[in-house]
Amino acid sequence: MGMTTKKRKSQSSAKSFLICGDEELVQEYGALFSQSEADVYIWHNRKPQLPKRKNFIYTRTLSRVPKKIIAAFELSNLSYERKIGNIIKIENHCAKESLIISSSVTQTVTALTAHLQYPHRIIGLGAFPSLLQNDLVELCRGPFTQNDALKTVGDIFFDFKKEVSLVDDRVGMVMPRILCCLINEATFALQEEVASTEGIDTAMKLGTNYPQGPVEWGEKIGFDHVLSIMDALYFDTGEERYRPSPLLRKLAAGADFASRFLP
Amino acid sequence: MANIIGVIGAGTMGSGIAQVAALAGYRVLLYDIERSALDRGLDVICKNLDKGVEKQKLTKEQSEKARQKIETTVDFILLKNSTTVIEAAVERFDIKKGLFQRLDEMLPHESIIATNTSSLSITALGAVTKRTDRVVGMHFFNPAHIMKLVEIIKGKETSHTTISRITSLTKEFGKTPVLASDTPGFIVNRVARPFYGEALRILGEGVSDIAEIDRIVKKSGGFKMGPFELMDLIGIDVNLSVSKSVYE
Repeated sequence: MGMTTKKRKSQSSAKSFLICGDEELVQEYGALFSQSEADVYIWHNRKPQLPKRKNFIYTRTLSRVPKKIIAAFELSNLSYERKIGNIIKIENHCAKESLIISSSVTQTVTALTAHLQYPHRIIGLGAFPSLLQNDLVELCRGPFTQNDALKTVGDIFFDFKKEVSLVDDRVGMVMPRILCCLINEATFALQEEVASTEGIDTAMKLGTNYPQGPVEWGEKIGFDHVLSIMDALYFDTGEERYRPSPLLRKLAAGADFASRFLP
Repeated sequence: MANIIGVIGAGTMGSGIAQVAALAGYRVLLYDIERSALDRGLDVICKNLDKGVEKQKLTKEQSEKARQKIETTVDFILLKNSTTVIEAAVERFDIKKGLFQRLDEMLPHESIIATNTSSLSITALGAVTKRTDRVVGMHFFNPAHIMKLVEIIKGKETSHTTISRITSLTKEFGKTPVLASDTPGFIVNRVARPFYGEALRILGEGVSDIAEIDRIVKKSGGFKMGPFELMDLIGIDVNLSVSKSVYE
Protein backbone atom coordinates (compact mmCIF):
# COMPACT_ATOMS: atom_id res chain seq x y z
CA MET A 1 0.00 0.00 0.00
CA GLY A 2 3.05 2.23 0.36
CA MET A 3 3.69 4.82 -2.29
CA THR A 4 7.20 6.06 -2.69
CA THR A 5 7.74 9.39 -4.32
CA LYS A 6 10.27 9.79 -7.09
CA LYS A 7 11.79 13.04 -8.21
CA ARG A 8 9.87 14.24 -11.22
CA LYS A 9 9.51 17.70 -12.69
CA SER A 10 5.99 19.03 -12.72
CA GLN A 11 4.45 18.67 -16.18
CA SER A 12 2.06 21.53 -15.68
CA SER A 13 2.82 25.02 -16.90
CA ALA A 14 0.54 26.48 -14.28
CA LYS A 15 2.61 27.30 -11.21
CA SER A 16 0.01 28.42 -8.72
CA PHE A 17 -1.67 26.85 -5.74
CA LEU A 18 -4.76 27.71 -3.80
CA ILE A 19 -5.20 27.14 -0.07
CA CYS A 20 -8.44 27.51 1.85
CA GLY A 21 -10.30 25.97 4.78
CA ASP A 22 -9.98 25.80 8.56
CA GLU A 23 -7.76 28.53 9.94
CA GLU A 24 -5.31 26.25 11.77
CA LEU A 25 -4.76 24.12 8.68
CA VAL A 26 -4.44 27.08 6.33
CA GLN A 27 -1.81 28.37 8.72
CA GLU A 28 0.12 25.08 8.74
CA TYR A 29 -0.09 24.47 5.00
CA GLY A 30 0.67 28.13 4.36
CA ALA A 31 3.83 27.77 6.44
CA LEU A 32 4.74 24.71 4.38
CA PHE A 33 4.26 26.65 1.14
CA SER A 34 6.44 29.47 2.39
CA GLN A 35 9.30 27.16 1.32
CA SER A 36 7.95 27.20 -2.22
CA GLU A 37 8.56 29.65 -5.06
CA ALA A 38 5.12 29.09 -6.59
CA ASP A 39 2.34 31.64 -6.31
CA VAL A 40 0.11 30.68 -3.44
CA TYR A 41 -3.38 32.13 -3.33
CA ILE A 42 -4.79 32.11 0.17
CA TRP A 43 -8.56 32.31 -0.01
CA HIS A 44 -9.81 33.38 3.40
CA ASN A 45 -12.44 35.11 5.47
CA ARG A 46 -9.98 36.15 8.14
CA LYS A 47 -6.38 36.72 7.11
CA PRO A 48 -4.23 33.99 8.67
CA GLN A 49 -0.96 34.82 10.39
CA LEU A 50 1.78 33.59 8.11
CA PRO A 51 5.40 34.46 7.48
CA LYS A 52 5.69 37.38 5.05
CA ARG A 53 6.33 36.01 1.57
CA LYS A 54 6.21 37.66 -1.84
CA ASN A 55 4.59 34.61 -3.39
CA PHE A 56 1.56 34.72 -1.01
CA ILE A 57 -1.52 36.37 -2.43
CA TYR A 58 -4.38 36.86 -0.01
CA THR A 59 -7.86 37.02 -1.46
CA ARG A 60 -11.42 36.99 -0.21
CA THR A 61 -12.81 35.94 -3.57
CA LEU A 62 -11.89 33.21 -6.02
CA SER A 63 -12.14 35.56 -9.02
CA ARG A 64 -8.56 36.77 -8.43
CA VAL A 65 -7.27 33.21 -8.64
CA PRO A 66 -6.11 31.95 -12.06
CA LYS A 67 -8.38 29.29 -13.52
CA LYS A 68 -5.47 27.03 -14.25
CA ILE A 69 -3.59 26.17 -11.09
CA ILE A 70 -1.65 23.06 -10.10
CA ALA A 71 -3.84 22.28 -7.17
CA ALA A 72 -6.31 23.67 -4.69
CA PHE A 73 -5.81 22.57 -1.09
CA GLU A 74 -9.25 22.53 0.46
CA LEU A 75 -8.61 22.15 4.19
CA SER A 76 -11.96 22.18 6.00
CA ASN A 77 -12.72 19.57 8.63
CA LEU A 78 -14.98 21.46 11.00
CA SER A 79 -17.95 22.31 8.80
CA TYR A 80 -19.44 20.05 6.16
CA GLU A 81 -21.44 22.87 4.61
CA ARG A 82 -18.39 25.06 4.24
CA LYS A 83 -16.41 22.18 2.83
CA ILE A 84 -18.96 21.33 0.17
CA GLY A 85 -19.44 25.04 -0.58
CA ASN A 86 -15.69 25.48 -1.07
CA ILE A 87 -15.40 22.41 -3.27
CA ILE A 88 -18.28 23.42 -5.52
CA LYS A 89 -16.87 26.94 -5.87
CA ILE A 90 -13.40 25.62 -6.67
CA GLU A 91 -14.89 23.18 -9.17
CA ASN A 92 -16.83 25.96 -10.89
CA HIS A 93 -13.86 28.29 -10.96
CA CYS A 94 -10.84 26.14 -11.76
CA ALA A 95 -10.01 24.39 -15.01
CA LYS A 96 -10.75 20.69 -14.98
CA GLU A 97 -7.01 19.86 -15.02
CA SER A 98 -6.45 21.65 -11.71
CA LEU A 99 -6.30 19.16 -8.88
CA ILE A 100 -8.49 19.39 -5.82
CA ILE A 101 -6.69 18.09 -2.77
CA SER A 102 -9.29 17.96 -0.07
CA SER A 103 -8.97 17.07 3.54
CA SER A 104 -10.78 13.75 3.89
CA VAL A 105 -10.64 13.04 7.60
CA THR A 106 -14.22 14.00 8.44
CA GLN A 107 -15.71 13.15 5.03
CA THR A 108 -14.69 10.44 2.61
CA VAL A 109 -13.46 11.38 -0.85
CA THR A 110 -16.32 9.28 -2.14
CA ALA A 111 -18.81 11.55 -0.40
CA LEU A 112 -17.09 14.61 -1.85
CA THR A 113 -16.98 13.04 -5.30
CA ALA A 114 -20.76 13.11 -5.39
CA HIS A 115 -20.56 16.91 -5.62
CA LEU A 116 -18.05 17.06 -8.47
CA GLN A 117 -18.40 17.21 -12.22
CA TYR A 118 -14.82 16.14 -12.80
CA PRO A 119 -14.03 13.68 -10.01
CA HIS A 120 -10.90 12.33 -11.68
CA ARG A 121 -8.89 15.16 -10.10
CA ILE A 122 -9.86 14.92 -6.46
CA ILE A 123 -7.45 13.43 -3.92
CA GLY A 124 -8.10 12.93 -0.23
CA LEU A 125 -5.61 14.38 2.25
CA GLY A 126 -5.07 13.55 5.91
CA ALA A 127 -4.98 17.21 6.88
CA PHE A 128 -5.09 17.47 10.64
CA PRO A 129 -3.56 20.10 12.93
CA SER A 130 -0.07 19.40 14.32
CA LEU A 131 0.71 16.48 11.99
CA LEU A 132 2.40 18.51 9.27
CA GLN A 133 5.40 19.14 11.53
CA ASN A 134 6.30 15.48 10.96
CA ASP A 135 7.54 13.68 7.86
CA LEU A 136 4.59 11.85 6.38
CA VAL A 137 1.25 12.77 4.87
CA GLU A 138 -1.64 10.39 4.29
CA LEU A 139 -3.46 10.43 0.98
CA CYS A 140 -6.40 8.52 -0.38
CA ARG A 141 -8.15 8.19 -3.68
CA GLY A 142 -11.80 8.46 -4.61
CA PRO A 143 -13.61 6.10 -6.98
CA PHE A 144 -12.57 8.12 -10.07
CA THR A 145 -9.21 9.57 -8.99
CA GLN A 146 -6.62 9.21 -11.73
CA ASN A 147 -3.15 7.80 -11.06
CA ASP A 148 -1.55 10.88 -12.60
CA ALA A 149 -3.34 13.11 -10.14
CA LEU A 150 -2.08 11.01 -7.26
CA LYS A 151 1.43 11.07 -8.64
CA THR A 152 1.40 14.86 -8.93
CA VAL A 153 0.32 15.19 -5.30
CA GLY A 154 3.08 12.79 -4.26
CA ASP A 155 5.57 15.00 -6.12
CA ILE A 156 4.28 18.17 -4.48
CA PHE A 157 4.87 16.65 -1.06
CA PHE A 158 8.17 15.16 -2.14
CA ASP A 159 9.39 18.68 -2.91
CA PHE A 160 8.58 19.58 0.69
CA LYS A 161 10.55 16.52 1.83
CA LYS A 162 7.41 14.70 2.93
CA GLU A 163 6.69 11.04 2.37
CA VAL A 164 3.18 9.96 1.52
CA SER A 165 1.19 6.88 2.38
CA LEU A 166 -1.84 5.87 0.38
CA VAL A 167 -4.60 4.60 2.66
CA ASP A 168 -8.17 3.52 2.05
CA ASP A 169 -10.91 6.13 1.82
CA ARG A 170 -12.23 6.04 5.39
CA VAL A 171 -13.21 8.75 7.83
CA GLY A 172 -10.34 9.49 10.24
CA MET A 173 -7.80 7.82 7.93
CA VAL A 174 -5.01 6.38 10.13
CA MET A 175 -3.17 8.88 12.33
CA PRO A 176 -6.02 11.32 13.05
CA ARG A 177 -8.23 8.37 13.99
CA ILE A 178 -5.75 6.78 16.41
CA LEU A 179 -4.70 10.12 17.87
CA CYS A 180 -8.23 11.42 18.42
CA CYS A 181 -9.36 8.15 20.02
CA LEU A 182 -6.41 8.49 22.45
CA ILE A 183 -7.30 12.08 23.26
CA ASN A 184 -10.98 11.20 23.66
CA GLU A 185 -10.11 8.38 26.08
CA ALA A 186 -7.87 10.79 28.00
CA THR A 187 -10.82 13.20 28.38
CA PHE A 188 -13.01 10.35 29.64
CA ALA A 189 -10.30 9.56 32.21
CA LEU A 190 -10.09 13.24 33.18
CA GLN A 191 -13.84 13.47 33.52
CA GLU A 192 -13.83 10.41 35.79
CA GLU A 193 -11.03 11.98 37.85
CA VAL A 194 -8.64 9.10 37.22
CA ALA A 195 -5.82 11.64 37.39
CA SER A 196 -5.08 15.32 36.81
CA THR A 197 -4.41 16.77 33.36
CA GLU A 198 -0.73 16.99 34.18
CA GLY A 199 -0.76 13.47 35.63
CA ILE A 200 -2.23 11.98 32.46
CA ASP A 201 0.18 13.84 30.21
CA THR A 202 3.20 12.90 32.32
CA ALA A 203 2.11 9.27 32.59
CA MET A 204 1.65 8.85 28.84
CA LYS A 205 4.97 10.48 28.02
CA LEU A 206 6.99 8.57 30.60
CA GLY A 207 5.06 5.30 30.67
CA THR A 208 4.67 4.75 26.93
CA ASN A 209 7.10 7.24 25.36
CA TYR A 210 4.39 9.27 23.63
CA PRO A 211 5.85 12.36 21.96
CA GLN A 212 3.26 14.55 23.71
CA GLY A 213 0.72 14.01 26.44
CA PRO A 214 -2.79 13.45 25.04
CA VAL A 215 -4.38 16.43 26.78
CA GLU A 216 -1.68 18.94 25.88
CA TRP A 217 -1.72 17.51 22.35
CA GLY A 218 -5.48 17.97 22.16
CA GLU A 219 -5.09 21.55 23.29
CA LYS A 220 -2.46 22.17 20.63
CA ILE A 221 -4.58 20.57 17.89
CA GLY A 222 -7.73 22.31 19.10
CA PHE A 223 -10.37 20.22 20.85
CA ASP A 224 -12.89 21.30 18.19
CA HIS A 225 -10.80 19.46 15.60
CA VAL A 226 -10.56 16.39 17.81
CA LEU A 227 -14.32 16.40 18.30
CA SER A 228 -14.92 16.72 14.55
CA ILE A 229 -13.06 13.44 13.99
CA MET A 230 -14.81 11.64 16.86
CA ASP A 231 -18.22 12.85 15.66
CA ALA A 232 -17.39 11.70 12.14
CA LEU A 233 -16.23 8.27 13.35
CA TYR A 234 -19.25 7.89 15.60
CA PHE A 235 -21.60 8.88 12.80
CA ASP A 236 -19.75 6.61 10.35
CA THR A 237 -19.87 3.49 12.54
CA GLY A 238 -22.59 4.08 15.13
CA GLU A 239 -20.29 2.38 17.62
CA GLU A 240 -19.99 3.23 21.30
CA ARG A 241 -16.19 3.15 21.14
CA TYR A 242 -16.21 6.37 19.12
CA ARG A 243 -18.60 8.27 21.35
CA PRO A 244 -17.03 11.63 22.24
CA SER A 245 -16.81 12.27 25.98
CA PRO A 246 -19.03 15.05 27.33
CA LEU A 247 -15.85 16.75 28.54
CA LEU A 248 -14.41 16.66 25.00
CA ARG A 249 -17.59 18.29 23.72
CA LYS A 250 -17.27 20.99 26.35
CA LEU A 251 -13.58 21.52 25.61
CA ALA A 252 -14.42 21.77 21.91
CA ALA A 253 -17.10 24.37 22.58
CA GLY A 254 -14.52 26.48 24.38
CA ALA A 255 -11.53 25.37 22.35
CA ASP A 256 -9.96 28.82 22.34
CA PHE A 257 -9.94 29.03 26.11
CA ALA A 258 -9.83 25.33 27.02
CA SER A 259 -6.88 25.84 29.37
CA ARG A 260 -9.15 27.91 31.62
CA PHE A 261 -11.46 25.06 32.40
CA LEU A 262 -9.36 21.95 31.91
CA PRO A 263 -9.64 19.87 35.10
CA MET B 1 14.33 -0.61 62.66
CA ALA B 2 16.46 -0.91 59.56
CA ASN B 3 14.78 0.31 56.42
CA ILE B 4 14.23 -2.90 54.48
CA ILE B 5 12.23 -3.18 51.31
CA GLY B 6 10.72 -6.55 50.64
CA VAL B 7 10.03 -7.46 47.03
CA ILE B 8 7.79 -10.40 46.21
CA GLY B 9 8.40 -12.13 42.90
CA ALA B 10 11.75 -12.33 41.12
CA GLY B 11 10.31 -12.09 37.61
CA THR B 12 10.98 -9.25 35.18
CA MET B 13 9.18 -6.62 37.24
CA GLY B 14 10.22 -7.83 40.70
CA SER B 15 13.90 -8.01 39.89
CA GLY B 16 13.79 -4.61 38.17
CA ILE B 17 12.13 -3.10 41.24
CA ALA B 18 14.68 -4.76 43.55
CA GLN B 19 17.49 -3.24 41.50
CA VAL B 20 15.96 0.24 41.61
CA ALA B 21 15.47 0.06 45.40
CA ALA B 22 19.01 -1.21 45.99
CA LEU B 23 20.48 1.55 43.83
CA ALA B 24 18.57 4.06 45.95
CA GLY B 25 20.46 2.69 48.95
CA TYR B 26 17.83 0.41 50.48
CA ARG B 27 18.44 -3.05 51.82
CA VAL B 28 16.30 -5.31 49.67
CA LEU B 29 14.96 -8.74 50.44
CA LEU B 30 13.84 -10.40 47.22
CA TYR B 31 11.45 -13.28 47.78
CA ASP B 32 10.21 -15.94 45.39
CA ILE B 33 8.75 -19.39 45.95
CA GLU B 34 11.45 -20.91 43.80
CA ARG B 35 15.19 -20.73 44.26
CA SER B 36 15.68 -21.01 40.50
CA ALA B 37 13.53 -17.93 39.93
CA LEU B 38 15.65 -15.99 42.43
CA ASP B 39 18.84 -17.11 40.71
CA ARG B 40 17.49 -16.01 37.36
CA GLY B 41 16.28 -12.71 38.79
CA LEU B 42 19.60 -11.99 40.43
CA ASP B 43 21.38 -12.88 37.21
CA VAL B 44 19.26 -10.34 35.31
CA ILE B 45 19.95 -7.70 37.96
CA CYS B 46 23.72 -8.28 37.70
CA LYS B 47 23.60 -8.07 33.91
CA ASN B 48 21.57 -4.85 34.04
CA LEU B 49 23.96 -3.33 36.58
CA ASP B 50 26.92 -4.27 34.40
CA LYS B 51 25.22 -2.67 31.43
CA GLY B 52 24.70 0.46 33.51
CA VAL B 53 28.42 0.59 34.26
CA GLU B 54 29.24 -0.08 30.62
CA LYS B 55 27.03 2.79 29.52
CA GLN B 56 28.55 4.97 32.24
CA LYS B 57 25.20 5.50 33.91
CA LEU B 58 26.61 3.93 37.08
CA THR B 59 30.02 3.73 38.64
CA LYS B 60 31.48 0.32 39.38
CA GLU B 61 31.24 1.16 43.06
CA GLN B 62 27.52 2.03 42.85
CA SER B 63 26.85 -1.18 41.00
CA GLU B 64 28.71 -3.32 43.53
CA LYS B 65 27.09 -1.57 46.46
CA ALA B 66 23.64 -2.14 44.96
CA ARG B 67 24.42 -5.78 44.37
CA GLN B 68 25.44 -6.21 48.01
CA LYS B 69 22.21 -4.63 49.20
CA ILE B 70 20.08 -7.37 47.65
CA GLU B 71 19.45 -10.57 49.56
CA THR B 72 17.25 -13.34 48.28
CA THR B 73 15.07 -15.82 50.09
CA VAL B 74 12.46 -18.52 49.60
CA ASP B 75 11.45 -18.14 53.24
CA PHE B 76 8.38 -15.88 53.33
CA ILE B 77 8.60 -15.21 57.07
CA LEU B 78 11.88 -13.30 56.58
CA LEU B 79 9.88 -10.49 54.95
CA LYS B 80 8.48 -9.68 58.38
CA ASN B 81 11.02 -6.92 59.06
CA SER B 82 10.22 -4.92 55.92
CA THR B 83 9.03 -1.33 56.23
CA THR B 84 7.54 -1.61 52.77
CA VAL B 85 6.78 -4.72 50.77
CA ILE B 86 6.36 -4.30 47.04
CA GLU B 87 4.43 -7.24 45.65
CA ALA B 88 5.16 -8.19 42.04
CA ALA B 89 3.79 -11.73 41.91
CA VAL B 90 1.65 -13.11 39.09
CA GLU B 91 -1.50 -11.16 38.16
CA ARG B 92 -3.95 -13.43 39.94
CA PHE B 93 -6.24 -12.18 42.66
CA ASP B 94 -6.31 -15.48 44.58
CA ILE B 95 -2.52 -15.59 44.77
CA LYS B 96 -2.15 -11.96 45.76
CA LYS B 97 -4.92 -12.38 48.32
CA GLY B 98 -3.00 -15.19 50.03
CA LEU B 99 0.22 -13.16 50.03
CA PHE B 100 -1.48 -10.04 51.39
CA GLN B 101 -3.16 -11.94 54.22
CA ARG B 102 0.10 -13.52 55.31
CA LEU B 103 1.95 -10.20 55.07
CA ASP B 104 -0.77 -8.47 57.06
CA GLU B 105 -0.36 -10.96 59.90
CA MET B 106 3.40 -10.74 60.19
CA LEU B 107 4.39 -7.20 59.20
CA PRO B 108 4.81 -4.44 61.80
CA HIS B 109 1.77 -2.21 62.19
CA GLU B 110 3.19 0.77 60.28
CA SER B 111 4.56 -1.19 57.31
CA ILE B 112 3.05 -0.61 53.89
CA ILE B 113 1.99 -3.25 51.41
CA ALA B 114 2.42 -1.90 47.89
CA THR B 115 1.40 -3.84 44.81
CA ASN B 116 2.75 -3.59 41.31
CA THR B 117 -0.53 -4.90 39.88
CA SER B 118 -1.49 -3.45 36.52
CA SER B 119 -5.05 -4.69 36.46
CA LEU B 120 -6.43 -5.64 39.87
CA SER B 121 -8.33 -3.32 42.16
CA ILE B 122 -6.22 -1.87 44.99
CA THR B 123 -9.37 -1.47 47.07
CA ALA B 124 -10.25 -5.14 46.65
CA LEU B 125 -6.70 -6.23 47.52
CA GLY B 126 -6.63 -3.91 50.53
CA ALA B 127 -9.91 -5.37 51.75
CA VAL B 128 -8.36 -8.80 52.35
CA THR B 129 -6.14 -7.19 55.02
CA LYS B 130 -6.78 -5.36 58.29
CA ARG B 131 -4.60 -2.47 57.10
CA THR B 132 -6.71 -1.05 54.27
CA ASP B 133 -5.16 2.38 54.88
CA ARG B 134 -1.64 1.00 54.31
CA VAL B 135 -2.26 -0.84 51.05
CA VAL B 136 -1.40 1.07 47.89
CA GLY B 137 -0.72 0.55 44.21
CA MET B 138 2.82 1.18 43.00
CA HIS B 139 2.75 0.42 39.31
CA PHE B 140 6.16 0.32 37.62
CA PHE B 141 6.65 0.10 33.87
CA ASN B 142 8.71 -2.44 32.03
CA PRO B 143 11.76 -2.36 32.11
CA ALA B 144 11.45 -1.07 35.68
CA HIS B 145 15.11 -0.07 36.00
CA ILE B 146 14.77 2.24 32.98
CA MET B 147 11.20 3.55 32.74
CA LYS B 148 10.76 6.70 34.80
CA LEU B 149 7.06 6.44 35.54
CA VAL B 150 5.42 4.94 38.62
CA GLU B 151 1.65 5.19 38.93
CA ILE B 152 0.68 5.53 42.59
CA ILE B 153 -2.82 4.18 43.06
CA LYS B 154 -4.98 5.17 45.96
CA GLY B 155 -7.44 2.52 47.06
CA LYS B 156 -10.73 3.58 48.62
CA GLU B 157 -9.24 3.55 52.10
CA THR B 158 -5.56 4.22 51.41
CA SER B 159 -4.47 7.02 53.77
CA HIS B 160 -2.78 10.27 52.78
CA THR B 161 0.21 9.27 54.91
CA THR B 162 0.62 6.08 52.90
CA ILE B 163 0.36 7.99 49.63
CA SER B 164 2.91 10.54 50.73
CA ARG B 165 5.32 7.86 52.02
CA ILE B 166 5.11 5.91 48.74
CA THR B 167 5.40 9.11 46.71
CA SER B 168 8.61 10.00 48.56
CA LEU B 169 9.93 6.48 48.14
CA THR B 170 9.24 6.66 44.39
CA LYS B 171 11.20 9.89 44.18
CA GLU B 172 14.07 8.33 46.15
CA PHE B 173 14.05 5.58 43.54
CA GLY B 174 14.70 8.30 40.96
CA LYS B 175 11.26 7.83 39.44
CA THR B 176 8.39 10.19 38.65
CA PRO B 177 5.25 9.44 40.67
CA VAL B 178 1.83 10.15 39.17
CA LEU B 179 -1.24 9.75 41.33
CA ALA B 180 -4.11 7.76 39.83
CA SER B 181 -7.46 6.58 41.10
CA ASP B 182 -8.33 2.92 41.49
CA THR B 183 -10.07 2.42 38.15
CA PRO B 184 -9.44 -0.30 35.53
CA GLY B 185 -6.09 0.16 33.78
CA PHE B 186 -5.30 3.20 35.96
CA ILE B 187 -3.89 5.83 33.56
CA VAL B 188 -1.50 4.36 31.03
CA ASN B 189 -3.06 0.98 30.38
CA ARG B 190 -6.40 2.63 29.94
CA VAL B 191 -5.57 5.70 27.86
CA ALA B 192 -3.20 3.69 25.65
CA ARG B 193 -5.88 1.11 24.71
CA PRO B 194 -6.97 2.92 21.52
CA PHE B 195 -3.36 3.05 20.31
CA TYR B 196 -3.54 -0.72 19.84
CA GLY B 197 -7.29 -1.20 19.50
CA GLU B 198 -7.72 1.37 16.74
CA ALA B 199 -4.63 0.15 14.91
CA LEU B 200 -6.14 -3.35 14.90
CA ARG B 201 -9.48 -1.97 13.74
CA ILE B 202 -7.84 0.02 10.95
CA LEU B 203 -6.00 -3.13 9.87
CA GLY B 204 -9.12 -5.27 10.11
CA GLU B 205 -11.13 -2.81 8.03
CA GLY B 206 -8.42 -2.79 5.37
CA VAL B 207 -7.70 0.93 5.66
CA SER B 208 -3.97 0.19 5.67
CA ASP B 209 -1.61 -2.70 6.41
CA ILE B 210 0.65 -3.50 9.37
CA ALA B 211 3.88 -2.04 8.00
CA GLU B 212 2.16 1.09 6.71
CA ILE B 213 0.24 1.72 9.94
CA ASP B 214 3.50 1.51 11.89
CA ARG B 215 5.20 3.82 9.38
CA ILE B 216 2.35 6.36 9.51
CA VAL B 217 2.22 6.40 13.31
CA LYS B 218 5.96 6.98 13.54
CA LYS B 219 6.42 9.39 10.66
CA SER B 220 3.13 11.26 10.78
CA GLY B 221 2.47 11.14 14.52
CA GLY B 222 6.06 11.27 15.73
CA PHE B 223 5.68 8.18 17.94
CA LYS B 224 8.89 6.27 18.65
CA MET B 225 7.30 2.93 17.82
CA GLY B 226 4.32 1.86 15.76
CA PRO B 227 1.41 0.04 17.46
CA PHE B 228 2.26 -3.33 15.92
CA GLU B 229 5.95 -3.09 16.78
CA LEU B 230 4.99 -2.17 20.32
CA MET B 231 2.49 -5.02 20.59
CA ASP B 232 5.24 -7.38 19.47
CA LEU B 233 7.58 -5.98 22.10
CA ILE B 234 5.09 -6.06 24.97
CA GLY B 235 3.76 -9.44 23.90
CA ILE B 236 0.41 -9.82 22.20
CA ASP B 237 -0.71 -12.15 25.01
CA VAL B 238 0.07 -9.50 27.64
CA ASN B 239 -1.71 -6.88 25.58
CA LEU B 240 -4.78 -9.06 25.24
CA SER B 241 -4.97 -9.72 28.97
CA VAL B 242 -4.64 -6.00 29.79
CA SER B 243 -7.36 -5.15 27.24
CA LYS B 244 -9.63 -7.81 28.70
CA SER B 245 -9.12 -6.57 32.22
CA VAL B 246 -9.87 -2.94 31.26
CA TYR B 247 -12.92 -4.16 29.35
CA GLU B 248 -14.19 -6.22 32.25
